[in-house]
Amino acid sequence: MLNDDSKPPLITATNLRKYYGEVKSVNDISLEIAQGQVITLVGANGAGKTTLLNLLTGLIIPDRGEIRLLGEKITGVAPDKRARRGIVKTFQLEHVFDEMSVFDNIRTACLSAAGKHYSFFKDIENEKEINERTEGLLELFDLAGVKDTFVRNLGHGYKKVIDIAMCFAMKPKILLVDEPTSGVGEEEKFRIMNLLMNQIEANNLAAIIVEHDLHLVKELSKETIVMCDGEFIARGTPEQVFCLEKVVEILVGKGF
Amino acid sequence: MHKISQQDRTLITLLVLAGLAMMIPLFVSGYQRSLVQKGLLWIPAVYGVYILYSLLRQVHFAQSIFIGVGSYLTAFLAGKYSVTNELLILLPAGLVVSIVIAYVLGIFITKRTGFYFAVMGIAVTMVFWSLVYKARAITGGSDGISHIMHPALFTMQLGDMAFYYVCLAVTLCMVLLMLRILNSPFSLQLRAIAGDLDKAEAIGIPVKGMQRAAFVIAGANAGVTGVLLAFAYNYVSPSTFEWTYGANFVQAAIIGGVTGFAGPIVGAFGFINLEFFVSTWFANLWEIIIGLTIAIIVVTVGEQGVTGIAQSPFSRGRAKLGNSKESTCKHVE
Repeated sequence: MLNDDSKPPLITATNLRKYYGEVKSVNDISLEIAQGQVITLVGANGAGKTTLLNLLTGLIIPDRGEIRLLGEKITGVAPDKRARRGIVKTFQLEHVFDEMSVFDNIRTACLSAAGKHYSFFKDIENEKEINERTEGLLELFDLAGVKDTFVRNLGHGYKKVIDIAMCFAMKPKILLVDEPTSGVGEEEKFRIMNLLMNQIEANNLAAIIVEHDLHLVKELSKETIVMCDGEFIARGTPEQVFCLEKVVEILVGKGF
Repeated sequence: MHKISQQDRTLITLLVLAGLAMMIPLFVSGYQRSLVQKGLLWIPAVYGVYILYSLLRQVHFAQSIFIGVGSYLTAFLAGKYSVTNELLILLPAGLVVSIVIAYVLGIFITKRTGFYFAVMGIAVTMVFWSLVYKARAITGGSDGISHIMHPALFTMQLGDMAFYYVCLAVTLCMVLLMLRILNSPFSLQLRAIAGDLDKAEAIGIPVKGMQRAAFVIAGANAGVTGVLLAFAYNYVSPSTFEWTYGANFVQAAIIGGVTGFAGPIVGAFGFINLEFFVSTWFANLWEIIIGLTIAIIVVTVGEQGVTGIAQSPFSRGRAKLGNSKESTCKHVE
């Protein structure tokens, strides 16, 4: 997409490295992502995709290399701080707060995004702005009908949507999406993917999407990176990339 | 028309309860009044356990540390070194000291959750106990410190009756504060941490810091209680620091239940009454009876506690109102 040279890119990772003993999970990877740029990331199991995402969210600290967000170094910054600064991830399996209503799930994320963590004495019902924003997000993600339902009583599809809605409540700059459709039925898969992609586009967000379904990858983005043994081995449009011999070799048996 | 919210209802119930507690001394003997007073003073400490369990799902055995810290602070300043017996100095001092200690201990204890959190609480309590026990020159060792002055407020010396009302007022303030905190944005996010720690972190909640803050709130509650308990007993001993004493507050929380706001109030009075009743008539059976009581409560109603049992007749349709009715009954008894 657009790569305006005058502005610093959204995220710059330089020579990131993470080894686990002999295993080179992420081996000197460099990556630049601009606002609005959507990249899909594919590769066999153990190629280091999840490790790379975890390095960017801060769950793992790299052995070497640095990460910058809008030019500012964030290599050692804790995951929760990065989330508040706009690097937000979704989980492979949905993570939601089962013992709360849908409304409270989203409201929690809105409170956190507004930095109201240590607000001890204010009555939560008087947080007008937060509650209105929560209502808005419920509408946006088509959850208003179940807002008072406890999340534990809802199905997988709903939980995925709630999980994603919480991510958007954080006002992200970049979304790191780890296999958004795993464990969801074929029909809901497209609904959830559509919802996610529409929101990414509407907010002009950057995103890295890890996805196994290669047909889906072709539809999702104009740019695909293939990872193998901790390195990027190919990068380009999905059509280009999936024709390369080495890529086919790696992804054989993966439904291609 | 303004709708009466659940919180308003709780507030009204609390004020009714406080009114009842105000009248109790007019009808009962001095000894019974001191029992009620002890029950009142336990309430904030039990709320500390309650807040950590109901919001964070952590079992807090270390309340005795903060009761002990508050108590010894009183014993030093108003007893051993006769510096001051002014509650306006001692209460804030107890609050500050317990907050500082809770903050430091919280750094270690909240590093782990679940089983390890509970065990860490017990372990740290034992360290405190043995320090106080061994430092005979300062703490009086196993003899403890007696001859604590009567408390004063605005430099007026307080009699037993006046002190009862001070305890009531302090407890009421603490309970109202708890009501506020339990309905705050802070508490909702704590529940999120208990629900799914990874997701909480992923949506930017500073998990460690907030767990520590909850621990500090719990400790501060017990610290204030401790200052007043030392005056009430007119004596402190290292047994205040024993982990079994801290476990009493967990037991009280279980008796009262950890699902409703009335739980700690019912639990504190339930425990004190049980203790009184048993020690009067079946002096040797205390452990058996408290053990059986808790076993029966855990098996039959679980987290709802006594509050839950008494609530069930009212619960159809108006579960939450029943909650407050129960606590009224308990208090009149």
